[in-house]
Amino acid sequence: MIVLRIQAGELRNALKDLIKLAEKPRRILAAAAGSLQDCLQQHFKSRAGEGNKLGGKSTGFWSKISDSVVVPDALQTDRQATVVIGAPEFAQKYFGGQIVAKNVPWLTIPMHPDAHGRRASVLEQELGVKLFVVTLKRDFRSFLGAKVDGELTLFYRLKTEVNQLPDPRALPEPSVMDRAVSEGAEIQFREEILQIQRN
Amino acid sequence: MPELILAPIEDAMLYHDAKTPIGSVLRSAGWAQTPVQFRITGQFSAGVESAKMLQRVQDGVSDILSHRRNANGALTSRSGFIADLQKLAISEGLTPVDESKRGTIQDITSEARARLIYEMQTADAMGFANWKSGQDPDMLNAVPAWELYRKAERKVKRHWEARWQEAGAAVGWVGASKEAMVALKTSPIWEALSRFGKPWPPFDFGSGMWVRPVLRRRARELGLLQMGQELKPSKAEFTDKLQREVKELKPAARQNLKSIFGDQIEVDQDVVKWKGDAKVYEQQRTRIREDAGRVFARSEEALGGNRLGGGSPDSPSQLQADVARANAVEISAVSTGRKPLFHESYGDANWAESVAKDLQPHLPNGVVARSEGPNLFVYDQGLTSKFATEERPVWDQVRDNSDNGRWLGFGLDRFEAMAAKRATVQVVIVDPAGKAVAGFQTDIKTAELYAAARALDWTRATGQNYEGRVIRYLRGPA
Repeated sequence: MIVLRIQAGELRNALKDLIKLAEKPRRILAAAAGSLQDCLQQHFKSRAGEGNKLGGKSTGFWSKISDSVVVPDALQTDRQATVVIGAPEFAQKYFGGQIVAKNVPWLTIPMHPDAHGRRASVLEQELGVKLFVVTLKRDFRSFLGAKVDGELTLFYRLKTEVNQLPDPRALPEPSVMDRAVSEGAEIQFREEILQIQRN
Repeated sequence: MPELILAPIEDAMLYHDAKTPIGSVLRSAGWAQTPVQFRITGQFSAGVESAKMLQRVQDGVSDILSHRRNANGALTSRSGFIADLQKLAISEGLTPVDESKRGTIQDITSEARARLIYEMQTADAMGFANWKSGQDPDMLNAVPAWELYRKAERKVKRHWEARWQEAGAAVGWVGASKEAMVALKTSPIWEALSRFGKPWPPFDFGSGMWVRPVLRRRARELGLLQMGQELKPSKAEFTDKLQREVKELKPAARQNLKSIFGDQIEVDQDVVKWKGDAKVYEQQRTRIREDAGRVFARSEEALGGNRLGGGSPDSPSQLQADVARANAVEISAVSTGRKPLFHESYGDANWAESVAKDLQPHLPNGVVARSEGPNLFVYDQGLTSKFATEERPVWDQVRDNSDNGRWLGFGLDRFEAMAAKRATVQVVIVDPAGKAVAGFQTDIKTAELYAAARALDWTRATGQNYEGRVIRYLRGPA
């Protein structure tokens, strides 16, 4: 399990104070978590609208990340609210990291719009082409390509390893998330105050 | 303090892992007419009977939801899941015979179909986890509502605003706003909005729509709840409703489900549930095909001598041959436990009697061929006794119900008192060339299920793929 602590010290102190005052602290935290969930969903929605570098058909990556933002009831307490991103592919996007070909000789890195989000076998099937390895004499770089309408088209770059950099915009800015958390908590707190005043 | 973690979501995993792989010829319209409980607990894919495929879907989605890593430390990815499914489907020989369907969503070997399976199954599990957590009393009262919103663009968008208005009107706007697409998490609008009858997203195939949390203040401002009002979770109510829907299934509906799913479904007095074992279903399918084929051939031969209403003694008219074939299919369906009763009147008592005598030795134990006057009856004693009352002999009731569509496996008795008030449709069974070979009228609410079951009778009997089509409204509200 990977834990990302998103709140600044100032916010933590403010929340602690609110919770101390609240009659139902779990609800304050639940509202804070709900607000953070919404903040994340809207961020992922805007990322989904950016499209992909290759201009290929969307794989729905960000949409899938957005679906997986959940506030599991079992993880909510009077002291702690937890928002979970359940999509496994998000960690690679957030942290980056090295990927090494292990039981295959090569990793196939898409370089053509039609290859985006597709394994080589699926591309062959869907496009009705036969892929073959092309190695440049100049620098020994290798590719998977196919003849399309008589022309050589390169679909994948072949590499034994890749080092993916973290995406600095994988999550919203910390200040944006902090604001969402504090707004959610405050709204619920005010609701409770109004209720007490009414009674 | 709030924290954000990247981890598998336990509720999503448990929801998915509780599914039982179920093989079936049903298309999505047919599945939509099965009880919601069956769709929640069944691992199925429209038209897929391959146990191997269904198990692979179940395992692959489970790997994704649980963040399981393979021996090389790699996670199951979307592209890996799609490639794996496609490869298996091709190796299982599941490419559609009909070329016009290849590469489409109806082709289980296509990337489009594998992608849809991935998207729907992972989203369904996440949607459930989101809904279930939202039913926690504190969560529900702090974040009492959802807003339906577009999370991803689509080239062709459905009219969700109109759909919201329709769903809201259908449930009397209980807990739902007319102005914004916002409703309490406990509102019945979510089920009404869903193509799948579930109160969590996704609400339709590839819709691009999802729900976002709405805090208490906004819900209150929209008039969805009052200051200080405590909402009660609706989870138990939903679960009760699912169980009631199954428990209240009538004998004809239970028999029809059995006819479609075979031994994968357990149908008992109080229990109707998945028993599973799609692999055994696949094996049984071969045996049933052989048994049905044998009885079909014998019946067609026996009935082929009917020359009533025209045709020379040596050569039957095309109409007579078609009727003989359709009747033979029905008799083979009764003989293999797929429907309770077959009845036809031939206008000649001697001929009906000779056919009954001719057929009886070829029928399995418990299936009776009997004539009375010009009428020929073939019935399964076990199945018809489930429809009969205990006061009178089963045979008397078989005779009385000889034109009752429920006993005949068509799902609707056109002569019963309430029949005139039901919305009914015409179903036709078409052969692989698209020619209609049989038809019947039935209730619109379950027409797809009966169409599929009766088409399957033809497929099992003849070994060719027949299709049941719901073609038009006959009566009542659409």
